[in-house]
Amino acid sequence: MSEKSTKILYAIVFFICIIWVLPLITVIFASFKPEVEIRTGNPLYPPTDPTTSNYSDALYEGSPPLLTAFKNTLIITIPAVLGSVFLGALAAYPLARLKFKGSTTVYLLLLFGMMFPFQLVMVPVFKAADFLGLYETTTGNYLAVIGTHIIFGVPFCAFILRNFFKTVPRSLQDAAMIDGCSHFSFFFRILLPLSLPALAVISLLQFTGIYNDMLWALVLMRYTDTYPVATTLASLSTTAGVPYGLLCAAGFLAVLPTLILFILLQRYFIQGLAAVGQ
Amino acid sequence: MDNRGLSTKIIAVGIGIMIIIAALVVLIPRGEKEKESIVVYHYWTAGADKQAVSMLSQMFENRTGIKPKMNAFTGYQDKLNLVIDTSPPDVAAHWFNNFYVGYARRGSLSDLTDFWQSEGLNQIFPEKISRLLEVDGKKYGVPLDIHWEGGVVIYNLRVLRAKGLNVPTTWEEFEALLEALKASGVEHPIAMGFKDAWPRDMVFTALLASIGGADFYIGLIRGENRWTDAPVQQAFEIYRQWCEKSYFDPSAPGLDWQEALSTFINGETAIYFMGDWACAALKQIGWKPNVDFIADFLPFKSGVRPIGIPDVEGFVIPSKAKNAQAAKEFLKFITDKNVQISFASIKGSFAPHKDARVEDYADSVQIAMWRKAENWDWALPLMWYYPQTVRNVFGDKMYEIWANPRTVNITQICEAIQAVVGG
Amino acid sequence: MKKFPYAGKTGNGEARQRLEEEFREEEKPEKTAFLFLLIPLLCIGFVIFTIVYLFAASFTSNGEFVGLQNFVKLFTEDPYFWPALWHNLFWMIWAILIPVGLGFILAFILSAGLKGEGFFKGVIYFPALLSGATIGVIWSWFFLPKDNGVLNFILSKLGLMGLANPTTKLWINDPSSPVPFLWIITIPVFAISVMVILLSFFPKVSDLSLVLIVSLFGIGIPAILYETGAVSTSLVSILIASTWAGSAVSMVMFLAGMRAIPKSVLEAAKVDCASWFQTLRHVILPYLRPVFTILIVLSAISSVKAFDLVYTLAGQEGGAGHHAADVLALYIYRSLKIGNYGYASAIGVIGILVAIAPVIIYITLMRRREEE
Repeated sequence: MSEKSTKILYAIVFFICIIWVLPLITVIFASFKPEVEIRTGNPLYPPTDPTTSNYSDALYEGSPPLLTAFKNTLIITIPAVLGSVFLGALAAYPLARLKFKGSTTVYLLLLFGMMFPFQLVMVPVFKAADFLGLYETTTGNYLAVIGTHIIFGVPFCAFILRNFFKTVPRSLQDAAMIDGCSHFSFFFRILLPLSLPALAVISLLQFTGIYNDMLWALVLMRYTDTYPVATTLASLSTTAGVPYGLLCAAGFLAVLPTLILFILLQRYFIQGLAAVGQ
Repeated sequence: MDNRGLSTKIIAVGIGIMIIIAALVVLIPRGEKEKESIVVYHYWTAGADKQAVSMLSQMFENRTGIKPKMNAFTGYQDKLNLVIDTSPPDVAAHWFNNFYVGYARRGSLSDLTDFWQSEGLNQIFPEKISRLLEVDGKKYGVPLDIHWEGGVVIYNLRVLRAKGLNVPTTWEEFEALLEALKASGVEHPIAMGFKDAWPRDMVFTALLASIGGADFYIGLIRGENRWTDAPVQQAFEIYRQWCEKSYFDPSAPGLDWQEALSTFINGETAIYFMGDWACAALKQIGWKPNVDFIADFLPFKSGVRPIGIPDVEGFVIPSKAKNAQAAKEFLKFITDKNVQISFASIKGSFAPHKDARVEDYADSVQIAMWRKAENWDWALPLMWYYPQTVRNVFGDKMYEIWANPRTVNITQICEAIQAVVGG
Repeated sequence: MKKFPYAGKTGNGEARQRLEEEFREEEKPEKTAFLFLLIPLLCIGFVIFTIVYLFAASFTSNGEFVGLQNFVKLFTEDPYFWPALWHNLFWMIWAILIPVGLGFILAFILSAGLKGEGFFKGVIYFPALLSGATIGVIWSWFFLPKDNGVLNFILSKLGLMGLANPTTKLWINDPSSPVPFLWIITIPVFAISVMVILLSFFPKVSDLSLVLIVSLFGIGIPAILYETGAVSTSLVSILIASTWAGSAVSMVMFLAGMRAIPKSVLEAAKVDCASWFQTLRHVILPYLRPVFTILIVLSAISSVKAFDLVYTLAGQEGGAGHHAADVLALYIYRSLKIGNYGYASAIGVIGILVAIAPVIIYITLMRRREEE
């Protein structure tokens, strides 16, 4: 690659990054500006009089305060991600490796379960949760939300992991099983550890999806103080108008966990997406 | 990768995560003892509203020792729709609009007529107000506060003064003011933001009230008058003319009411059809009533009886509420004059209590408006009387006029709306 | 589960191999499959239950059975349905082309192996981590109508306001046909996307056909749609916001795919003195076919789900009064509010059917690939 074209490429990439990040930067600036300046001042300039009031309002004042919302999110997301990825893997293995009657049907069911907007089934899910008595108690609320995330996450995880498992060489499996390994031990002892990159990818995707989902908590939770972060964000817009500063601050805080997770898992992530794409 | 070592690591991580989850589960707040507390849903999520409702909650706790569990929701109507017949709150804030009527008629709300009788509420609230929340002769809620919504116009005194113009007192003066503003360089004198449909609907309500007066307005909502009658057509026609002459801010489809208020604040516009909560917002940024702004009712055409159009909100008790007894305590609590006055003064609204004197808690502009309208006939804002289907069609037609003022056919529009209204 | 009777015993000769094969054929996979699938099937069963409930409800109205009446009303009398459906279809078309094409372009640029690649990837991927509501806030701030809006501000500083809406300064709530600025930004990407997808699936297409198809589908059709106002500034702006988040996944997958191309093939191309375009066309794109396939299907599927973003940016009507950005999911939400669950379910059924179409295409393609 010649000197000049490398420089040009760098310039292009740099330019693209600037454009890409522009909306974010204005939001970060806005999160430090008081509301008045946001509405009247120039959106591209840094705050003239930076204030952290938006952040403190978001963290301590909201309903619920973001700190509580973060706690709620942890309670909901970790079991939900683990559950859906694990069950997805469980479902993906037979579909990828075993030829059995009805495997096509199950596969089609999986696809089907992935592809409709979930708002549609808001009402039946609510009715089911209420029927099981999960709307009454706070613990029930959490269980309902976690359960719903797992149930609706399984098809997607299974789908992606099935594609991935198919790429694992058959010879490995045959070798293991010839030596006395059952399907179960192959799965747990060999396949899962080997699939770590793909599992990491799916976990990150599921985490992002569940973390950012505001629908189920909105429907299934009785009180606002058990809301997770995404639902809290959605309820920050009020009839008294949109408090941009607060929203920007809250939005930025909300993205930090996912960001950190992403940075940590980035290596696996790239590997995994590559494997998935085959 | 060393498989053995990795599986051990995975197991370790797995156990670690399970410990964390167990710890978190322990942290989950157990539901508070439901017997001793009541669950209240409301929609006052921010600003002065939120302060007012916190004060309410605190006062209730001080008085009765019961700590209400207050929950504010955006998308309030949806949330309530979802839970009202299954697991509703004990007390719910609500506007006395068409949804309220719907809930009452299908049995989702407790009939409070006897409660009104036993607590003597008919003596506390003026008949004008209690009539507004009657459904088929029965009462299903208790009013908490009142805002002026319909027919309210806010004038930007800074702009008017700069252009040497006066606040109009008659209909003709109002129309002249619009012309004068346009002539003096205010390109779009009327502030407007209809990202949400309701601010635009308010313009129509104001026009209809000023043109048709109390008799026609009340006749229309009762179904005695039709949407194809002359006053309705005239109201649409005037709105159409205003659109054609481009009196409204052209960015209106993308602004919400607060952003439209910003155009008012920075002097781009001089007139705002908005309820009195906008006055509260202006005061919050330091504008002074009668100095920087003034709110008044849109002048009525001569020969027509004036009408007051308040926005009345209060509390209802869902029929499936768990703690109906404590809920009634709460309702009793809010009928107290001092409670109402405290709430209204923080929120910037009015207390419906008969003995609450506006002079005690409101500012000069509010007092003036109240005194003007207190002897008029009252009705609720127009769209409160219609179901969502009608509101949708109405909103679409209003937009059509806004977008095509030259080619639109008013008669057809009136007929279309009448068709949806039915009957 | 049966163990291979000769497990642990040494020997790898022919006899053993025969026994292995016999053993493999004797397995009864159903039982194992069942054990593995037990819990997941319960989950999927619940999902199916909710969908069946939905389908069943679509034949009712206010609790009574009314057969196909809801659907008939939907297709013939409902003024909001067809626009919403069209907007969803356009959303699907956009989602299949633009994020994929844009992701490819980004990946292609980054594949040159620049320093700090990880950083660039992170920057571009970041928006995909945000929730729909947050993206909505960011972009409503960006597209704000008055001069404060970031985009309006930049355009006016550059003197390019004429390319946008100088009087109304609207983006998201503007139901008129797309302004020139949007033409400039989006049509080239349409063209490039059509080109790369075409070349990936049909690398041997003649140059003439290539130019014809790209002009027709990549430039002509979008231009016609824009010019006639079949899609509005509002819809296109919202789609741009969704692409900001959506292209990153395709970029990462393409990058990975490109890295996976065997070096030997690339070397061979270089030896043959192929220009970069020829390498792209005959080597890279065909190799990336599986990536294109899966991206297209996933994009099509998730386009029907679009809700959070549109709701935050345009409100529950997709634009009060003009419904320029109304999509099926929003319409369902509104119908639920009105209270007729049966009618809302009917719309939902249509939404599911719309989403099924790309899936069926995908399955057919998969079948074909597995047979190759």
